[in-house]
Amino acid sequence: MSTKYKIGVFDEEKTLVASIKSLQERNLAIFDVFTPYPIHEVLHLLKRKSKLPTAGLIYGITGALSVLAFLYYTSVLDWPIDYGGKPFNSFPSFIVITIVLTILIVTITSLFTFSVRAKLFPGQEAVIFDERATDDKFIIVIDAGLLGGEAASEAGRIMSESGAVEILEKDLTEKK
Amino acid sequence: MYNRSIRGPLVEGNKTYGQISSDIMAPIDARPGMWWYLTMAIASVAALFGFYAIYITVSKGIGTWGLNNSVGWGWEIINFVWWIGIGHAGTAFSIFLLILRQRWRTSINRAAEAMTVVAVGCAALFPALHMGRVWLAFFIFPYPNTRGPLWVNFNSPLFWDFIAISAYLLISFSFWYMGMLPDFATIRDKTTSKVKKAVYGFFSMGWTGGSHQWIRFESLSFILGGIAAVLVVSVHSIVSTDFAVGVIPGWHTTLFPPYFVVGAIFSGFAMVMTMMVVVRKVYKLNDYITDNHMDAIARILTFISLIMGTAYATEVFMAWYSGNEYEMFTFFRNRVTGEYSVQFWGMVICNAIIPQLFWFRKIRKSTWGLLWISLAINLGMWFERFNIVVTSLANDFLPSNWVSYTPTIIEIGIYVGTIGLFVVGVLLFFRYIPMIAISEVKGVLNIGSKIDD
Amino acid sequence: MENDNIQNMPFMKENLRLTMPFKVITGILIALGLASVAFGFIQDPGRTWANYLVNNYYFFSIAMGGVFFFVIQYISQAGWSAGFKRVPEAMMAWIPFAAVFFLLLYFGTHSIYHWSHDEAVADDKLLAHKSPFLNVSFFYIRMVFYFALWIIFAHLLRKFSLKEDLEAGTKWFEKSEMYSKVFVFILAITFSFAGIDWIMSIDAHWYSTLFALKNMVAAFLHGSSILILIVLLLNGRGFFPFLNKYHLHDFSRYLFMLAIVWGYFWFAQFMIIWYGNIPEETIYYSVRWEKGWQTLFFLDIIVNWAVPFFLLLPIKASRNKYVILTVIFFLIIGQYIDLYLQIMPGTTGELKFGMIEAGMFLGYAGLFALVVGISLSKANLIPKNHPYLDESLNHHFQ
Repeated sequence: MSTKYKIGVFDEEKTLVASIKSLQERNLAIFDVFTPYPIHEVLHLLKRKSKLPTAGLIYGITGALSVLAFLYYTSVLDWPIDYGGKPFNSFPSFIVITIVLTILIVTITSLFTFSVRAKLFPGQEAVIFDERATDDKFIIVIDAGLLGGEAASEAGRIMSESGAVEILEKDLTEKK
Repeated sequence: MYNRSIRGPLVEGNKTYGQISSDIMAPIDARPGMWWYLTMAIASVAALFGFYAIYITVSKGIGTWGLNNSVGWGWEIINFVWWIGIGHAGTAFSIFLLILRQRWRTSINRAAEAMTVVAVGCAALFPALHMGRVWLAFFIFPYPNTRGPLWVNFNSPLFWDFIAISAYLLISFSFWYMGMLPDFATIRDKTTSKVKKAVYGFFSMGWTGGSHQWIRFESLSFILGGIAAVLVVSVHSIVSTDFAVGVIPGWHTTLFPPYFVVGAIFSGFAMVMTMMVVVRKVYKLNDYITDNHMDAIARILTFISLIMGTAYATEVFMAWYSGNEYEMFTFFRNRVTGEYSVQFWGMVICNAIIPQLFWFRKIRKSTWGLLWISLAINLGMWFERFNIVVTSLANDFLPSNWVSYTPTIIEIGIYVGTIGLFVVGVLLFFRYIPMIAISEVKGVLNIGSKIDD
Repeated sequence: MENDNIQNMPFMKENLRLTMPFKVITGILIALGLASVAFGFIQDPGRTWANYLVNNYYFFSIAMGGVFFFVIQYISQAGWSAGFKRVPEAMMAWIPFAAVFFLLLYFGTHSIYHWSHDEAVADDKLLAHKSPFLNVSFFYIRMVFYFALWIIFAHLLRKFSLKEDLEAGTKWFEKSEMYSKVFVFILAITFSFAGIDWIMSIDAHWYSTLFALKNMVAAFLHGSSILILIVLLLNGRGFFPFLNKYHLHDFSRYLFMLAIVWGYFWFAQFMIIWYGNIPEETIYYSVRWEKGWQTLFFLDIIVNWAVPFFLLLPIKASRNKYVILTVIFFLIIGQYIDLYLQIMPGTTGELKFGMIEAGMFLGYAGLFALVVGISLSKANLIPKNHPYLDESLNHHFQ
């Protein structure tokens, strides 16, 4: 499947943000924005949200509870052993191991979730619209196929008015 | 809002975004200098020596070490704690300075994190070897087994150590690696070499810098950062409980957890400073790692040094205040004076007194001053661990058990070997990985200037 | 440039005038406190002296928390808080009062400190060993020395800050920074010793190396909470108009982080003593593990650690004024519980809370509020010429 994209290339953060704002004012859908470093204003304007912190919290609570349950099972139910006269269910020292094991669990599960959700894993091929986006340029990508030719050219005009240094058109065969 | 006119720019030399990428990528593209090969050769020899010592240890047993019935812990535990301490710098840099909103961290945290990963790897070697029969190391995993099922002792600080260090290694590695994704992508998109494009492309995991990726990237850094902050404190607290939950005088003291954490950050920052002095000199990255950066680290070291001095004084005072004869013996007859007083005073001088030279601006500005003082701190921190581990064991409750401890060549060999491994790791990092976080530096480039107001 | 900014801000109320109701209320509270002290001395002098120490230390620790906050801002070169620095400065004004109150403790020494009785020292080897340090005259010499240092430094920092208002340039700022660095070190040592002297020595046989540090963090935590309370109360009356959610966020991060550190110290001390199980150390906890005390023991960790931790964990909540006020409310009670639990078992040994306790606390609170209020009304509420002021007034981050 081949899709046409219109790409606005910007030199600096300020013009990029201005351009996103004026595109959004005209209700021209932005396919995505690529930047060499995270810009919170852009993420905010594009209404990007991540549920990862919530997922992390759930992992943490589940992890902590299951570790405590596991410790109780092994040290009290399954094979109780008296270590230096401490109670079988010695909560004060279980806290330590619970904290660390919970951290381990949250790390592994969050990394996994991140990899799946952001579609990032070793060897994954990148869909690159413009190679300079990871270096010194900020780019806005408009899906011309979705918007239709007229709207796309209007988007191009807006972008160059608001400071784009280049407007490119690209055919990208979607790799699946 | 960052007031640039008062606080000074974070990146000097009026860089553009493109220049940042090429400046930091330069060491990766260029052939390394003669010094690199030379240091690599020396470090490799040291590492080989270490491998030989490890081979002897594994094949003949830990009887080849200088340990005995009284001193059951020697150089291995000292070096383990020492390396773990150094390994606290990366996380401390990235997390604590993030929490304290210290923006200057951006050009140093990558190197500090790399150092962390290598140092923790070196540290993990020691307890594994100390188990004696390394091939049975898997016994420490708590899994349903055919030995009962006899579970591991969850109350044991040694088991906590195992979990904490595994978690720390994993989390510091993933935090470090994840931060490199955008930079690997930069190399992939900028390089002209096909091999590099393929290799860095593989490791960049398909990074493009799109908004969907950045938002998740930021969320993940937030989560990992938050839990790493807890972890970095708990790891060294747990290491301290190896000693503190026992009843040996000089070990059993409530101050130990925070004291170990602060000491770890101290030695870690000192190692970062050593490394940064070298990097600045060799790679000419003075525009990124500015004089202000070195100044800031020196100030932190001075501050922590005062805390360490206070902790030493507290310990000695409390030993007297407690009125406990064993405590008093350990501190006054065994540490302050006695067989191991050299190590005690070495610790006090290197950690609490020498860093006070940083109060002088002239010394903070001098490369040699920074280098020597940071090395002195690392030596001092080694003395501190020696002082804790050996003195309390060599002369304990019963005079009939009193012995001296001297390491054997095998023990020294393992230590030298880990230093070699560490240097090899760091050199490889310099050579193949952007040693400053490119995307983060770009993010703070214009802070406080006209573009961002 | 910074000055322009202040003048450009409309309705920047700068001068605080104490209102009549404020004076009347604090006056009533002080009278109430005096009445309870008088009643207490007639009724039960031992209990009153113990309460006297609790309240002395309570408000002293809050003032010292303000000092900690103040010097840490300079040392860490924090910009966001520059606009609020008059508040910790005003809290420092309490230190001379604390000095007077503590020196008056002289008359109650015997009813609080077991080691001050010569006959007790005579047949107790440990107390005899400690007597070069723990004896009445050296105890008060040290006290005078600590307070002299603190009063001098607090006075100097306040003076530099006021001078900065009159003179442009960073001269006074740099001076303050330098003095803060020296002061924080002196403070750490003297405050540690003060904690050991005044509180830990109540249980004269018991010792813990972490004790002083834990109380230092407690002072920082609770001092910060009162500081934030004052800022929010003033903000409610129209002062500090620039206070935004980012300031609130940073303020509550202080509470959050310090509560964690406090909880960490609390746990470290407890865990190591519990695990080591040496009778001379565990005695401290086993007394506090008895019926009645045990409730307080758990309330202590819940109120001072769990409440701030869980309430301030979500970012949204940490920027909400009402959540922060709730946390502060709990922390105010928390410091009282913590000190009550540290002081009472070793002095009166009775778990009592009545007219004497409540009245004295309110009396101290009234006097503290009045002293801080007067100090606040003496100078511009917003400092001038502070190099980071601009940063503070326009504070924002992602």
